[in-house]
Amino acid sequence: MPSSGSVTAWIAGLKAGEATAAEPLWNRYFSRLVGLARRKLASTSQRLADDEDIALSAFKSLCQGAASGRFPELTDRDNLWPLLVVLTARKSVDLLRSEGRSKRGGNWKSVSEEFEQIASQEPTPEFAVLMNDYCDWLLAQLDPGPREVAVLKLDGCTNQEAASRLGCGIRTIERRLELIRRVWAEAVEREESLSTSREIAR
Amino acid sequence: MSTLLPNSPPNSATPDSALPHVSECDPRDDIRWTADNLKQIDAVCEQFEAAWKAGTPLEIRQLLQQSKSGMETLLFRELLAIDVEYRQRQGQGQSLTVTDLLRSFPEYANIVRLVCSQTLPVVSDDTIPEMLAKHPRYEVTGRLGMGGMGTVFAGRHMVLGRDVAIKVIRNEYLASPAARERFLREAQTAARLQHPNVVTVYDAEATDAGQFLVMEAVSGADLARTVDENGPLPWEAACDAIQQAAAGLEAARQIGLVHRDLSPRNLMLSDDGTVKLLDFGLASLSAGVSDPSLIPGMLVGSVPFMAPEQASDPSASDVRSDLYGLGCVMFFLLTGKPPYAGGTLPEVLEAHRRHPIPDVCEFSSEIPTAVALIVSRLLAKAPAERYQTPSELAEDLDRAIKGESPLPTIKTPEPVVPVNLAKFPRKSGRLFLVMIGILLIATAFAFGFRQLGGKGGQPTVDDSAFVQGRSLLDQRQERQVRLAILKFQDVIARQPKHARAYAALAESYNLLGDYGWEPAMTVFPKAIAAAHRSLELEPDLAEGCLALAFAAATYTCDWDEADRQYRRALEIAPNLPSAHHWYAWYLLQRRRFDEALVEIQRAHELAPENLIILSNVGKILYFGRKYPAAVERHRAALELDQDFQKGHMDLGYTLIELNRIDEALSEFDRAVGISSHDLDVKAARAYALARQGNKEAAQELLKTLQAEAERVGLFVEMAHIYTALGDSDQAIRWLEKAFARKSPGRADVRVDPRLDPLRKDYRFAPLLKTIGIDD
Repeated sequence: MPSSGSVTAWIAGLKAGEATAAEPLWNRYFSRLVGLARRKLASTSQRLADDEDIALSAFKSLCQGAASGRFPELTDRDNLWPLLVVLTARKSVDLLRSEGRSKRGGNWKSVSEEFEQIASQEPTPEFAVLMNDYCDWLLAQLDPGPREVAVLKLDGCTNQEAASRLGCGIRTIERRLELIRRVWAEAVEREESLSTSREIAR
Repeated sequence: MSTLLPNSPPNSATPDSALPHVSECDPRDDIRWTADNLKQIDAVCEQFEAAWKAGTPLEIRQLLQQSKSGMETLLFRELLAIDVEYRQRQGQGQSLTVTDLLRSFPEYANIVRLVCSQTLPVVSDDTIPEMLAKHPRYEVTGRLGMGGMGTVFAGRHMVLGRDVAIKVIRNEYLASPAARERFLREAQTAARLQHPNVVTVYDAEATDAGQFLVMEAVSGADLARTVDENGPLPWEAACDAIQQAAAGLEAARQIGLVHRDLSPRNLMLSDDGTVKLLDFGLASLSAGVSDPSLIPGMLVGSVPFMAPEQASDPSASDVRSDLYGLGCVMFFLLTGKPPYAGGTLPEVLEAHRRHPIPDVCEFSSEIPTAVALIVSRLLAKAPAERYQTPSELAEDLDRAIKGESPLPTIKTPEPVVPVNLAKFPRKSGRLFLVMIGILLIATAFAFGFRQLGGKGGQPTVDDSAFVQGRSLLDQRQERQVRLAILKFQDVIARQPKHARAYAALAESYNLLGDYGWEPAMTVFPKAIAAAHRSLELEPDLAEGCLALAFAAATYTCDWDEADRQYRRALEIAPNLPSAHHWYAWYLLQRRRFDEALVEIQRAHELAPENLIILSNVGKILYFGRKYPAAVERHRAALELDQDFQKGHMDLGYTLIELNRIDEALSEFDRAVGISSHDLDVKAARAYALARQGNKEAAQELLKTLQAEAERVGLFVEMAHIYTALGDSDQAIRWLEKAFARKSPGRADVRVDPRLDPLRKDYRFAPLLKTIGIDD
């Protein structure tokens, strides 16, 4: 595993160059992934096939956002997009790296460098399914209240809109966004440390 | 003026620009905020916000004391941000400035400045608007507080030497010349209102420099503060306060003035115990604001205290809307909460419109029934069912204080308007929904029948109390049924030969017994006696027979008698849909499926538009194991109303029996969010997953259901799930609970396909026997 320090710290410093650099790469890779997802996922994943569930799919939100070129600034704290993009980018690096481990090997310097290499390849349907599962997994880490906020935010609501949809104060949206970031950060960190220990065991 | 308040609408300055994020919260704070910390804070904030929405804000200080040490700073920042947001949205007559906050929370001065510097005025007590500072007649002597529309100052009329209160109205309320004109006109009307129970308006001024209203100075506190500080009032005191307010309202009514924004904050309690209404006519000012969305919650009054008709059409409000508001205030005085506390703004509005009227007696056993009846009458959904004038209310209050019962309602009956049945809340079990539907049509039909057939010889001088009782009964909530009994007794006291009142009384007792709200042994005999009495008075009263039949089937298990009475009811009123409907259920429970099907289909023919009956055709087909036909009926019901939650649920359950579990699951998905009964849906999902063999997922859902199931009475549903999981012990345990609590689904147990695997269990038959169902 790349040791880029604690994920928590990394996410807290999201404005840093690493994330910004990931954006165009992700965008590029993603446009292809989206096309693939549309064609293949419907048949391979029940969840994506179902309209009802699609509405709750973070991955779908990502797909739509990417398709419409809607990638807001990564430094925007009121938006969950950048975080999800970066988390997913990281995860995809992990996944792809383990897929291609035997072929490539070598040391990885940073997520963006790593990503540059990966983005030059074609995404596979299995990969799209994995990404979908990963996004769902992230959403599943949240309690119902914050999850509602996450879904609305991923659907592109402003804080004000989300507040009036949920009938709560704007401050509650902001508070929950903060909570979501923290929960995701800790979940990702836990998961990574788990997979690290698994790797060591192997 | 501009130095006093930022000239921006209350909600436009979103706090995020001013608010730091967690990491920047306080540099000295070296706690590393974990997700768990934030979750705890989130939970407290949620509680705090819910209290705000309910109109009963909590004390920040108190919440801080309960919080885990080390988290106070962050918690304070979050609570304060919510507090400021809600005060700006709803705050009326409440004072809040940065100065005040700094004084209250000196230890959090940094946070106060961070949170509030851009959102609250930094007024110190001696800052006064320019327009008043140089006023020829008025001198400002202090600051009394800040309300939704502006700041209130204490002042003196320099010529007359009279103490006054001066309310400076913020500019956005009077932006246009037309709005200013209206303001002056309202002030003129209000000034004509001179009554000891109304805060007198002396003067008003509107110029380019600003506008203000001069009022009588009252030394005391508003009723919101009084209750916040001392808790609910003793019922005698609450009655007295409301009686005084009613006197003020009556005076207003006589000159054609409506308040439109009654709330505990607008009722002043002066030091000598006089209650005075404040801010007459001011509610209409908010109509003048260019963009009403800028001031949610202030547009049409305080939502927790607002009449349903006023919410949908402010211009439709009259003195009866004020009486509703006064009812909400009375509820608040008695219980410390507005009647529909909790929930989001749309939820509260919806509750005013549709939820059963809550009962003050649930909060204190000391409140006499007469007082509870007054509150429930004030809170009637339809204006015509309330007191029509404040003096009517005052008279009843007078009687209540003297320990007498309220006078029977005297007015022309209004037609009972059935609400959207599918969305009507029910307390427990699906039978509740079924019953509402059936009884509403039964009532409507009974009226029509009598008028057309001209059979009943009794005079129908005053049926409004009876109609009120019926509509209470149709809500199928315990207290409402009990109140309905009082109503019917009231009707009978005045019209001892009112056969239908006896029949309705019998039905009320039946329900008390059937739901397990009263021991069967005490109420069913009463039901039977009342039903007999109704039949003595009017031998051909179908409702009387139905009540007898119900008691026979449910209590005495005298199936033959039940059968006889149902048949008789049908003979008398062969076209009464509810008679066919109930007979069908009886036949079903006797496992006479084919006959049950004939009856329910007949009910459907007679009331083809009735969703509940149509859906029960499907239900009976389901119990008869005729699944494809059942699916068809359920789909037909859903075509009538695709938001029919019960329809989606029943269709889903039927599809499961056809092993189309994915389709079933998507039906359950469609049932989510239609009403507040999503727990039923959750239970259905768990059942479907268990049937699918997805035990893990089912168990997962079960875990979250366990605690709630007890509370909302999902006993039979839990038994279904455990049966599907193959856990007979648990299934039997839940069935036992269902029977012990007399859960409404219990009568279906005998025919329920979901319990088929359990029928072989040696405990099943004896269990049925214990409740008098014998196979």
